[in-house]
Amino acid sequence: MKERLMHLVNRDFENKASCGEIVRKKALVGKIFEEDDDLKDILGKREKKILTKREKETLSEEELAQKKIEYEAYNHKIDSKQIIDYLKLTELQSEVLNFILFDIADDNVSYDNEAIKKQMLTVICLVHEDDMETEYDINRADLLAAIVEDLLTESSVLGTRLKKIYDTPRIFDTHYYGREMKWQMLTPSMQPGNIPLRNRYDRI
Amino acid sequence: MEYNLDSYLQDLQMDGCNLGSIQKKESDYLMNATFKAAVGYKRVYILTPDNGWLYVDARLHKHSAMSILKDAVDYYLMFRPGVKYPVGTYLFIPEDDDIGFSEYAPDNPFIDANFSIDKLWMIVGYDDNPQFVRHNVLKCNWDFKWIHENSLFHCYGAIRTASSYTSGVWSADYSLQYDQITSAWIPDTYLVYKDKLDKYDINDTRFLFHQKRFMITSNILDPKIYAVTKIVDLAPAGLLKLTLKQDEYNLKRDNVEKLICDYYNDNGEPFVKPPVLDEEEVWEVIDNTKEYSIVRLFEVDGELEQGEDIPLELFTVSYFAIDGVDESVDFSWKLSLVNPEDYTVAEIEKYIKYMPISKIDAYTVSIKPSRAKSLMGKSFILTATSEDGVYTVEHRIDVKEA
Repeated sequence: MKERLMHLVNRDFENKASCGEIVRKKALVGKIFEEDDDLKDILGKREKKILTKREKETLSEEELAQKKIEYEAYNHKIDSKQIIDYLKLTELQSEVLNFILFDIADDNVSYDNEAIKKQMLTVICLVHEDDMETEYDINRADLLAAIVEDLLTESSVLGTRLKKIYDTPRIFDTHYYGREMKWQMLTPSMQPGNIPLRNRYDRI
Repeated sequence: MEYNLDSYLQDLQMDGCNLGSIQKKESDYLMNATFKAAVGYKRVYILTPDNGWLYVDARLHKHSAMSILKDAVDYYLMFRPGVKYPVGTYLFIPEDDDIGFSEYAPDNPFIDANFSIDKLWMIVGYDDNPQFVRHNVLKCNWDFKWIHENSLFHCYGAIRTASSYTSGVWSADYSLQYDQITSAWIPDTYLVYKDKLDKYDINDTRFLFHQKRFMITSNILDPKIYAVTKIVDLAPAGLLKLTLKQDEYNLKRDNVEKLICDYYNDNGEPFVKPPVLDEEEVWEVIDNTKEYSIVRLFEVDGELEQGEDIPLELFTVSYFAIDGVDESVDFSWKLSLVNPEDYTVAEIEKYIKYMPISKIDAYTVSIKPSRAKSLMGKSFILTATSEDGVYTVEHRIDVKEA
């Protein structure tokens, strides 16, 4: 094997677009979810606790310090990430919370055309069993799934059309219920910036 | 009077029908006479099922040595010969000579100013010895509280350890969850005290069902929640043995200040309604010179400050607080529609659900109207009522028109 052109390595981890296709696409999907207020509301985002003027005027210094500690602990709890770009909750779940988990998988290169591959976007709407009801008389898992579907289905935001091929309810672990959805997209099987069907560091 | 064979036989039988019962009676007599002459003698305050709170004589003995390797130990308690109390009975045992109540024999020691759970015990068993019956008594160490049908229930009992051969967490396919159990023993209050529960100010533990959740914790920053997963009653009769599984804390429903789970419904309203006082009772208590009202607050540089009351916008948090009340009283809040006669019952329920209330502190709440266009133009009355029912304040809230 001839020496490779490793001097061409010029990665920029601050620019997600240059960190590979899956990183770039997941960042886009995450941004879509984070920018949707309805999604965050239905996920059950709580409002932070703030010290009131009354508390500052009536409590002693010691009580105020104690209140601050309590509010910070509470705000830290409710600040936990609920939109996660991998399919697992890695932290101990000590509160009733709901989540959107998503990830992208390359399924297979097309049999007929090596330049095209199938990519699968998987989104799981995970709802805690103690928080299934919403004020809209729609269960939370279905409502989250409806919003996600509204955002993604038939969209070309990731480059090619997202086609929903799988949408099923599931029981997840002990305390969670939700829906698992998958979208398929046909996409070029090469990294941007590469010469087609060749690695950028290979010397010809 | 003639003294004949019958009289002689009667005299013999007075001390017992046989030699054994004669010996028993004589030793009972000796025990009674020397009862107070023991190191373990205590004057305990016991809640008897028939006669209420009484002081009775008892002797406290060690059952087994206390060790850090095992659960809290029970002790033997022996009453005077012939005196027996059922399993599940509450009693106060003094450490020295005096229990320490503010008065000698309070009618309800649970609300006495000097009440301490450290001195409260419960009978958890007794042997069936033909003589000198020993009761097993266990110290209470927790006040278990739960909500059932808009009422707050509570029961003093003992938290016990449970063998749980896990690390405390369970790694499932998608999540990492609690995997921890503990145990609790509480009296079966209805079985012991029957229809005298109200008289003795004790709640009925028949309303403790599976899946009820307790907050058993000393840390309000990270409260530990346990749900009832197993209830064993009649083993022995008079005692309920609970198995509790650790559960997640519900930010929406649990009240960490009061250490009560499921205190609020999904709309943020407390399940426990404040008492409704009649006008005379209210006017006797409140100071009419003070003015109190609900004011609107806005977030300014990370603080909440009073501002102009403007209509609420959909999906935007608005803060309200009570102004003018100095005492540290807790308030419950609720919303009702202006002109409810213009709506059906289902519509009223729907609109109230669309306006969930979140409690910030004793005097401050936030309301975030849901993203429901049907809310636009609607008007509500926000009512805050103090826990004792004395203060009631109302404030009109309008949702911005389209």
